[in-house]
Amino acid sequence: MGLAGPSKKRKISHDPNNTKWTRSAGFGHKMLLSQGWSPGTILGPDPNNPHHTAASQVGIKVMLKDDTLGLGCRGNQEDTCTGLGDLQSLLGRLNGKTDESVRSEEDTRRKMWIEGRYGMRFVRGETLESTWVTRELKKDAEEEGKETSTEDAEEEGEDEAESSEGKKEKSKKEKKRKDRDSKKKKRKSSDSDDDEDANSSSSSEQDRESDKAKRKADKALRKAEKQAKKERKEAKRLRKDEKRRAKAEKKALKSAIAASSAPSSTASTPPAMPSAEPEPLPKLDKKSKSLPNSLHGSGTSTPVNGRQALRSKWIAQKRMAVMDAKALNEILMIKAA
Amino acid sequence: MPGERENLDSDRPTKKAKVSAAINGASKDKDMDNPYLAHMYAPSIALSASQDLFAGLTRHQTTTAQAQQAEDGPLNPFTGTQLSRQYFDILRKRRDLPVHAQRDEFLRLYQENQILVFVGETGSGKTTQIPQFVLYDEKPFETGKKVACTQPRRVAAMSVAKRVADEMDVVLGEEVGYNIRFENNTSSKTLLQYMTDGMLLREAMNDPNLSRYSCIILDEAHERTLATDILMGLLKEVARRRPDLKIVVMSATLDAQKFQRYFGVKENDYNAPLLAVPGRTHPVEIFYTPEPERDYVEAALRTVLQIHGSEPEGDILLFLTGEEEIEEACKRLRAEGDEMQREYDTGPLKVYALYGTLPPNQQQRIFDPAPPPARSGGKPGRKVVVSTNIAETSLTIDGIVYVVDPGFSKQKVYNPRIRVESLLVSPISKASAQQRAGRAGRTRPGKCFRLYTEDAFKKELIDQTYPEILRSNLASTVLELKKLGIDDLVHFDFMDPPAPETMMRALEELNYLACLDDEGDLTTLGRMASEYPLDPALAVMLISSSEFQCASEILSITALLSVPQIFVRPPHKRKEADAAKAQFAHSDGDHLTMLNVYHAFKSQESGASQRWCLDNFLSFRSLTSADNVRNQLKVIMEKQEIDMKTTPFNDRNYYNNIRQALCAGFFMQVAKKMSTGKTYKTVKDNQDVLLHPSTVLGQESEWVLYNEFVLTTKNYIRTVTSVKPEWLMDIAPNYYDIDSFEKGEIKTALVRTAEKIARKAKLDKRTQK
Repeated sequence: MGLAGPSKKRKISHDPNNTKWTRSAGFGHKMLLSQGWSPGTILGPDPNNPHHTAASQVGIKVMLKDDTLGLGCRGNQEDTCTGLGDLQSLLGRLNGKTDESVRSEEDTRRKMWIEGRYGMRFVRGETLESTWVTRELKKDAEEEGKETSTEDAEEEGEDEAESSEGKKEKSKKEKKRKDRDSKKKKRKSSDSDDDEDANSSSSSEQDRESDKAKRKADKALRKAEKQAKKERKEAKRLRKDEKRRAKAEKKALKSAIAASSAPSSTASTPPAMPSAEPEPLPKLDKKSKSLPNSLHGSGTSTPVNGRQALRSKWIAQKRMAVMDAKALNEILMIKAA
Repeated sequence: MPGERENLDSDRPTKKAKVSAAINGASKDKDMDNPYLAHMYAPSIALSASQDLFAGLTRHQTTTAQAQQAEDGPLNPFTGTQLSRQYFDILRKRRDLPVHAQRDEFLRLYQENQILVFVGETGSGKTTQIPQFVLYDEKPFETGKKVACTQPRRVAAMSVAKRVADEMDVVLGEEVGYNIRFENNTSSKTLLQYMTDGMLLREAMNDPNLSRYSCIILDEAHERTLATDILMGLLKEVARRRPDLKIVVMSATLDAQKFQRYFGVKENDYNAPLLAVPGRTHPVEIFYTPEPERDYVEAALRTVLQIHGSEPEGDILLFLTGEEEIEEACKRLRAEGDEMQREYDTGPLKVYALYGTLPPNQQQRIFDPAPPPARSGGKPGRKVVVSTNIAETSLTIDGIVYVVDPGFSKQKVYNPRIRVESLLVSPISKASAQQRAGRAGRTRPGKCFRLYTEDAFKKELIDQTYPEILRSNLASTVLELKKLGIDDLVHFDFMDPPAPETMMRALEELNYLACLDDEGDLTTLGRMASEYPLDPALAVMLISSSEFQCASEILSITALLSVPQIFVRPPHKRKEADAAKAQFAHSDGDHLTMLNVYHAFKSQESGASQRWCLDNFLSFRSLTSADNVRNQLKVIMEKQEIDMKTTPFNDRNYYNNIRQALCAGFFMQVAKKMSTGKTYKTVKDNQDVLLHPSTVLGQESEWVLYNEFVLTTKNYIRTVTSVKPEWLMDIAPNYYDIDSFEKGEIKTALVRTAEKIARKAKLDKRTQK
């Protein structure tokens, strides 16, 4: 509580817990002793009953509550920052995260809330089934939370394609995660392709297509890697190509900023890259052959000379910091949003 | 320390004689008058049932098929009359209930065992069906012994009895009846009796073997009320003495093992048999807030309105903590609901409050159906019930689909060290939270909105609510136990033994009140006091009031102290309310002020009193219930032949007598003003306290007696009356034994008082000579 806060002065008496009475053995003490009780033990014929609680020994301790603070709410909540998720997304955007990834993050978060006119927000927890029959609580509350409730869809409706796809997702929630993943990939790739075939195909078609795409992607990935290697070698040898590369980097930056699909957080960290998100690459590959090159340039330290090297290092560091939520929180001194 | 209180009346020999005469008179033909023993003299249950309808059914050997045949009619097996169509409609529904599927299993376990633990989830139909199953197997009209089913709450006992009477196609009060405090709706025909657990306990005091009953069903045992806990310990002993008595303990929670172990035999490692029946509930989705709420009341109201605005049809149940909070919330919800209906064309919103002190007829109103759409084709109306945790278990309101749970309830806590029992708002338990959520799934899949985070649910809530026995002052319980013939309190089989300190305090208080002698045995006064459904201090005050010739006044004050606050102080009309109260103010304190109010209330014409209460900021409800309580207590006093003669009003000792009589009960709740300022210090327990701002008493009173210690950030004493130390030393010499006091202001003052008394005595002697 700051200086400006109301001061709560409270006089505490000399012996607020009346230990004097506890120490003096009165009539009650004598009576219990005469009936075979010994100090320190609990009453009853079955003192070792595991069902007994500590309250049988020392009574119940209760905190005095004289305000309307909600459960779990500490009085000094002004000091802690909560709900800075919005700020984080803004910073993310400023620091080169694509609108798309930011928006999808926001969406997942918002979908966890059921928002209404009165501003009460709720996160879905477990579902209480008939407790006797099954005590299985649905652990994956998050997955549940992702589902869009009908009112949600009504309220949001920012991106029609998105929400329609969300609905589809809901209808097939029991399908394997693989499917969903591939769909996500699909979404991302389709975005980069200027929404060519994002929502036209039916679900089954989509599945088949995505499978195909996956196979294709794997192939393409290997190809791309090879190519990238080659190109790196080439770049090492031929400094003439500087012009071309500068152009490519410009393009890459532009693409990163202008929302035409860019590295997500996992993509930027080298070790996770191949396994986690292999599929944006081939598509990109099609579009601009030099892009993978620039990606590598930013993530790992490919020897680049002079001003360029410094600059790319700087960008890489910054990007790393922005991608890492923990680091960002530390920088901004945000406590768990 | 010597404990007999009678001997402190040595200077009033005539009065003492009167009291003892009253006692003798009371004990003589007590048994005949005692309503609890009426069965010993009355002919056994009138047999209206034609036994032919039960032909072929042997007691304790019946089967489901046989019972069903009897149920199928066409004649009512209990009355012999034609069964109505409604009966068969209900019967069809009853056969669908989950308990019915396990009727065979139940009967087998019931017939094979003396004690059975039955766990039926909400919605299983246990409260209505199991007693009927028992009825067909016990055949009470053969044995003349009834079946009792206890409920922790009066409303539940009433409403369940009504339902079961309908199910059995009999008139409520005849074959099926209920017996709650202040209302006995049973007759000599009664075979099945619903009652509060407290009533059964009172019966046990006069009939330790409960010989009227062949089967006792303890329902809602998981609620662990004080009376249920004592009854359970008692029934374990009664079961040993009476092998023919059957006991069914019904609970709704999953900690059935605790009950099984308790009712088993410890030496043989035998647990009581358990029958579990799943409940028919619908799934309830639970929602948490993403962050802790700053104001749970505000959040609760917004949530309710949000549900009303956006969720499909279905009634809402909101849990809040106390009467004031609930009434305030109801008012705001009504206003907002009306506005929503006007502005956004939502359906009409009907708001009901529900709390324990509400009179039963108003409590029944919550069962009204939700309002219809305001216009044809409009959105359907919605009912909101704002309730204390009374709606958590016993009371089932059909149609509830949404539950809003802020996670708090008012719970009683007792601190034996400073002898303060208070209702404090504290977090509920996990079990409670699940119960609350379950309320949403009674009629169809529902939703429960918890106004706290999932993390808070896991970390801040305890698993099970503490039973009442761990949270109460046990003075009246110990008195009851003594009356029940249980002397060894250390080895009494409590399901959860109370803390030793609590027990010590209770014994000590009873000793000071002279209800227990120095050997710990019940005194005559104690036996008389146990007849009253009151705190021992109040009972003792009532009994000794005739010594001070103000029995009628003390009776009124006792009644007023045992009902909710009679003064109303609405937040927006505080000044007017205070002014109205000032009219009745008595300079000597709040007890006398309350008495003035009561006298004024009684002098009103019966038709006008409600209006009068409204005008004077008084609670009509509290005053009428005080009137009711007064009549009930008067019956007991008359039975004990306590002299009701009073001092004439113009006598200058009229009020002094009353104040002295107050001291006779409350000499342990006295505080003395400190020289340092306006703080007071409680005698013996040495707690710093302030006079509650509501008092009419000025700050100049040196010694005050208080009714209630209010625990807040500041400690207040409420309902205070000024007294004189001479009275205290005279009336309770054991408690005001100067040697037992610590050095300090209070001791000095007492020493001075003692000197004054001695001087005066000397002077009196001299003048007499």
